[in-house]
Amino acid sequence: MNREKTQIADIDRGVYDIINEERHVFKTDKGLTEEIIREISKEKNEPEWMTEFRLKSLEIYNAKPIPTWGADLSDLDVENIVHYVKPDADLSRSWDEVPDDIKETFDRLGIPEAERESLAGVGAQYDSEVVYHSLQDELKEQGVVYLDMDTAVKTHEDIVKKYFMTLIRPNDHKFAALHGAVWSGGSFVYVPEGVQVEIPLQSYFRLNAKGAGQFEHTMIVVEKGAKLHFIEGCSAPKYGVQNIHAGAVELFVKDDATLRYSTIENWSRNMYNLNTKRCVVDARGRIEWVSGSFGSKVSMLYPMSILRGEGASSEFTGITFAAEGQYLDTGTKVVHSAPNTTSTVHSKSISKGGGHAFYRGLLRVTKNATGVKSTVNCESLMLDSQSKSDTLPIIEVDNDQVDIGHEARIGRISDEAIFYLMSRGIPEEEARAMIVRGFVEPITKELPLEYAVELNKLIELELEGTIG
Amino acid sequence: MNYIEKHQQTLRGLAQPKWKRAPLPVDILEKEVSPAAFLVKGNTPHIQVNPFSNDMNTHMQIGVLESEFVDHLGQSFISHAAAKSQNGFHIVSSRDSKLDFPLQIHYKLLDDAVMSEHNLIEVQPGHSLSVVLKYESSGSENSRHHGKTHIVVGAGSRLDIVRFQNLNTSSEFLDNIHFQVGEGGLVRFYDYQLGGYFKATSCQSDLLGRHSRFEVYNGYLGFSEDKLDLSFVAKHYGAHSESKILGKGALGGSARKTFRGTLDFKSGSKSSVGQEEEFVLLLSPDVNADSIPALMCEEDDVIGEHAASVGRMDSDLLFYMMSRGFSEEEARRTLIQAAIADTLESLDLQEIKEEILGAFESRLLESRAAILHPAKQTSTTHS
Amino acid sequence: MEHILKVNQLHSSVEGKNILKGVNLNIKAGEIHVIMGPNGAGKSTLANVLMGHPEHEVVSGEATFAGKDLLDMKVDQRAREGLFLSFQYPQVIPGVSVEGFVRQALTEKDGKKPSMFAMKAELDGHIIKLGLPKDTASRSLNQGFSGGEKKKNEMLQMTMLNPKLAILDETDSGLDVDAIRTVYEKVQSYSSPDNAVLVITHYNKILQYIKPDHVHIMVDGKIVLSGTSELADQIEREGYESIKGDVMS
Repeated sequence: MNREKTQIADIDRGVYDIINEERHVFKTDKGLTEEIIREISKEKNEPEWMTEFRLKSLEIYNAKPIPTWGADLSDLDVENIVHYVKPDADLSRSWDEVPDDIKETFDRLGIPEAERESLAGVGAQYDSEVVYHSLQDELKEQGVVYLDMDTAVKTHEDIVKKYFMTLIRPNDHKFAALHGAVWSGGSFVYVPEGVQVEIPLQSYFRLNAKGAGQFEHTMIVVEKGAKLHFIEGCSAPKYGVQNIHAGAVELFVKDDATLRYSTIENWSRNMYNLNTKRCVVDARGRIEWVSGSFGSKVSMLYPMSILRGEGASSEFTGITFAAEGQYLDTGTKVVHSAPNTTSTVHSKSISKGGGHAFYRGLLRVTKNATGVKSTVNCESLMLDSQSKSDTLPIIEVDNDQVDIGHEARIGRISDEAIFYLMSRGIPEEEARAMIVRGFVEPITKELPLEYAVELNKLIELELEGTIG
Repeated sequence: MNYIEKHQQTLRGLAQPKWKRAPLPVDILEKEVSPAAFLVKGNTPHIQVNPFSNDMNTHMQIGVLESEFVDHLGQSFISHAAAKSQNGFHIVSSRDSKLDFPLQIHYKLLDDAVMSEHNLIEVQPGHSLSVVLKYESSGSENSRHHGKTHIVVGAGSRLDIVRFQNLNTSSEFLDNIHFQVGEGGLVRFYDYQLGGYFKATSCQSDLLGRHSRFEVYNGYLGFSEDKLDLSFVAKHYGAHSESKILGKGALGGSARKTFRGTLDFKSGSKSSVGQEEEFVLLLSPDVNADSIPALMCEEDDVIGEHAASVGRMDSDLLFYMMSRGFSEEEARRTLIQAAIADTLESLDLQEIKEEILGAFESRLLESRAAILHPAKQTSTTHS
Repeated sequence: MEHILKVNQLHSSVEGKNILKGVNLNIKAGEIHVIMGPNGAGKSTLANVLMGHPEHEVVSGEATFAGKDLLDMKVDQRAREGLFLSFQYPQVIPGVSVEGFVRQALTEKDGKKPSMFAMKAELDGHIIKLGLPKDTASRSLNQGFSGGEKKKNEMLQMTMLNPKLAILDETDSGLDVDAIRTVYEKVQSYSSPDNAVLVITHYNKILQYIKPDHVHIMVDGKIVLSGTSELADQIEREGYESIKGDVMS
């Protein structure tokens, strides 16, 4: 009976949302004062408007309660954030302090030495200078701007000011407000009209950011008719001493432009991953999300597409893998607020060893969004009976000229399929792994080869259960 | 404090219920409940049909059942039905009860009346029982229905239950219905929400026993300013249990609907299968159709599937029918009727089936304006 | 001649129900055996029990494969020893390509990865000979395949894996005449002095395509009559009724 009540609380906005109940939990970091915020801004040498923005966000942060739906966030250390964001924060730690299983994972995934220390937050800066500069020359020719966010705020003030936190507003929720106050680092990409960026851009900056990249802000603007594929994250576990990741990703896709945004997120098992990602798409524009969510203790991730221009489209392909001790509350939101827009969602989840995967989806079609076509397909694979898998899609349709299809399925690897593979000489464990890889294949095939290989390796590790 | 007093106290302590999706009339729990007229047919000599008795034993039994029932509409409505009901039966099956000879209870609500029923239905192990519950209005003014029903289906028994709600369009219908199905038991619930401008129902089935089965077939219509919030939950506890939820309806005018179909597989429900499907036909640009098909799972050895399909009528199909001489209105009416008939296919009780289909057809004929797309109405000739 | 399979008094049950009730069978290298019989006789069960299907429990009896105790081995081990089962209802495995699947199976069997190009070339060659679509190698295993394509895919795997004993469970069911011919021509050409084939079928006209060395009739969980291809002829002409008298009880 207890789980029922918890479910009601959890899904307050969904299945049992017929009742309006308000619950409040207030927690803030007393150390996050106006002075600290000003110091941060000063150290970065930011323009006045950004300082003001941070201060306003801090106010909102202090006034908002921690959300009580979804994951249990009571463990979240919001009272010590100041230690990790203040200008003189000492974030270096010795290699010895890094947990063994993290080190082993680096090994198994074949992460180069140079990157390991950076990923583990061990003082050393990742030297990406050489690669970075050669890429810059090519991009410069096309007029593409690719910088870290801290620099972009100063060098491309107009653009940043126009778009910064207009999609993800500090008022949206407590962690958006926190982000607005203490954000640091992240990538800024601007693709001018008509420019087709042929090679996928990969983010380098997250490895260097202060606060170990936990409040990074990514902003990508793709102008009319332009095209970009941006890849962020990697399958290696990102180790954070301070356990919250409240990043923000804001994507702006203009008329007739296309953006593919691929991420593989794998955070160490002590982390709360509360990343907010939103994209707004104008007429005939297109956003493609390719997303792999692994790791973290708790994740709440709902990449959101707002299709506000006529003929805009959104495609989401994602995999979530919840293993022992993990609660991954992930999904996707699509809002159709213009006519003749289309969306597809292919979401897959795997839960194992007591992990809990929760797909939470929203599909909303506003009154004026006529001629909408949308297909959603969710599949959940449970690898054993200790795990949990829930799917809670909400479909809200406000006009009649729509064609909406939604399907979801939960199940396990069938004995018949295992028997078939074993009858071909494939041992049982390998048979399971093959089936899981096959399950994930629609996602891996959307990624560039090296990412796909890493993803498969990561899955292998997750199946073995060596990542603790 | 006894059962009723406890519920009265709970009711007093709860804030006015507020719903997110379908706006509740402000006085929803305020109006005075009065006994509603009813007619009982088909109670063969041995089926026990007694007025619901507020004695300790019944209350104890209900108390246990209540603890398993999730208050989807809100605790207020549970307590209201428990404390204020003035109608209701305690029905116990007999060896003689047959599926093709249903026990029928027909309610007629008067203008301005508020009825509240509290029922306990027990189908003893190995028995079969058919029950038909019908709700109609005697006038055309507002009337209101509240209720809660607990149904216990014993091992190896069968229950077919039809609920036909055909109140006038000024009325409100709210209800809670809770099933517990034992080993090898099979329940088929046919739920038709035709009348009332405000319909909110909560249905939960606990598939407790091994090989227990539950099927619910739901058909509805919503026009003008109607508000619907229909919830169906199948909870699988027993191994090899099976559930099926099928909902089909049509919405026109500025109607608003939320359909919640939940399949919940608990740990231990090995080799269970659950299937949920919802089809909604949208007839006007001003409708709001929300669907929340949820799948919850703690057991790996199950198969759970759900599907929702929302949209207008297939224009190719309409064209085909019109090419065979159907007017557009006739074609549309026929397709909606076909969807509802599809949900009734497995029901063996011919009489009630025809009655339901006839009533749907009448409502569709009355609402002919709503069936045709508003933009096209001006050019349509009535045939 | 070498014994490939020896089955002695095999009894099995599934969900508590007895299906195989004392099956005896001897298959030597170079032979083609056919098992026929009415529905429910246990023919498919025999195939599944030999392959080690987890739902079937061996109650008593023995089976040796190339001298080793078959029933003691895990399913994948049996395959690596050279046993192959062509399924009546092949599984669909989304996301796993035909090529990837065959490569993995060969790797397990030989203990090392086969040469990428050589294997692909060989695979494509067989794909064309079997009349499967050109792009079959890259398609997900059995996904979207017609009934005939699924059975041909089983033959494809058999050819690539080169088993000592291939058991074909109702490989012809659901196929049109052309597909049947392709499949059985493959079977006949596969048969060699080094391997053996066991065909389980309903199809009376099988003799048009293959020449079995032994024909067995299975009824109610046991092989009740064995003979040469003439026995199959008789069944085709006169039906199962005609042999009732000859059946050993």
